[in-house]
Amino acid sequence: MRKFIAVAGNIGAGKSSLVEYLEARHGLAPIYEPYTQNPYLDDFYADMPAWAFHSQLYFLTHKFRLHLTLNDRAGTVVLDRSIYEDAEIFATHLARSGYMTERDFQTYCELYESMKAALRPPDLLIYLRCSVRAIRKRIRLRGRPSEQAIPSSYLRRLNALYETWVERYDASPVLIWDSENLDYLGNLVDGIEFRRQIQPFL
Amino acid sequence: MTTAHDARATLENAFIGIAGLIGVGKTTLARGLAEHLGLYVHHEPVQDNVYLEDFYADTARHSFAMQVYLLNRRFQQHQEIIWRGQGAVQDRTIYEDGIFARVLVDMGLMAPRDYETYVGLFRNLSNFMCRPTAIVYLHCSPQTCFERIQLRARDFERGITMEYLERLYAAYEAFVVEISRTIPVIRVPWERFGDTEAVVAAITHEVQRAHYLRDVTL
Repeated sequence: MRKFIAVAGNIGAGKSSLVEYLEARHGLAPIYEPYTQNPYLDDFYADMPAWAFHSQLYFLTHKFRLHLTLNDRAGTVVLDRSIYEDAEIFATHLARSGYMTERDFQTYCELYESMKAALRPPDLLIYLRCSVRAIRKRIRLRGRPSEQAIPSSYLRRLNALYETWVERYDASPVLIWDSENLDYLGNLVDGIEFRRQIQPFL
Repeated sequence: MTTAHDARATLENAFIGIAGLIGVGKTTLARGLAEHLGLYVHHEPVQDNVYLEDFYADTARHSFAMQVYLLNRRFQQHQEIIWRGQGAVQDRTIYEDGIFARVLVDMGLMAPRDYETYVGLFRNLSNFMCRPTAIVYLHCSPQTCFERIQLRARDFERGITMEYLERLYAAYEAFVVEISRTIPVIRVPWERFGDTEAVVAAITHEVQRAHYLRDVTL
């Protein structure tokens, strides 16, 4: 891989649209999370405190593997959701909600730190910031059945975790893009501004 | 005859792993070797192992978290050995964790699904591990180890049974044969313990011998 761009953002923040745009417009190699059959998922939904640690560990291992495969790709790659978000957003949310014990979360975090130290950080992180209202609207529009019942309170908590994480994140330059008000796809002026900002990292 | 100076010079960049059953005497030898050779020693987390007590009290429930915890701790030791860029002694190798995991599965104390997850994690991390120069395997009967465990009387180790040690012993014996295909294994009889200096001499000899450039006359 020549360069590595990571796209981060809440559910419905517009990550896939951005990845598709970067592929079509700039010829970047898109990396989507491959569908993984997490063997703990059914148990997790039936009894979250009992299986949160196992299922999160499984996801983390697979995300680590995905990051490792980036090295074999030619050209500049753009990754739709990184390992950072697995840990900093989703696992942290489960721990804060009491689904993981303090001790297991500590073990998870130590493993995450080991992996982070071993991985090449991105050359650029693009964070798509988006209000819960706009996310709700997008979820309605794209109409995936599994997403319709997601409570707003959950999206709000994830948004808060994203903000905390991006604030502290220092592994690479960060481009924060307000995906609600700035429309790089439809609006010509925003599109030019967006391209100007990412150009140095392509 | 290997002098202390020879040994230090030969092994200053060696990464020596100490392998063996619970209670065999790894920690004592690791400390002695490190002192003799002037190497940094990485101990197994015992005092600060947050799962150890619960693991022995309710093994089936805590085996997965315990294995993940230990794997990561030893992985961090590997990272540190790489960063330091000099020799080290490791009190129990990262490969032995896999023996314990396997035995726990066989005894019904770890779910096969969790074992798969553990092995997947190990495989992915293994890209970033460093291979020991040699493994010193302290060989001792499970019966003797059992007695030593009773003697040191660590509260949390009271639940260790002969059956567990016997299964571990069998798995260790298979393991050393397997791993010796890629890493030199020095098997030392440790039934009545042994002399650290003699172990140093054996390691030095083996490491010197392991340089595979041979001149032949045709």
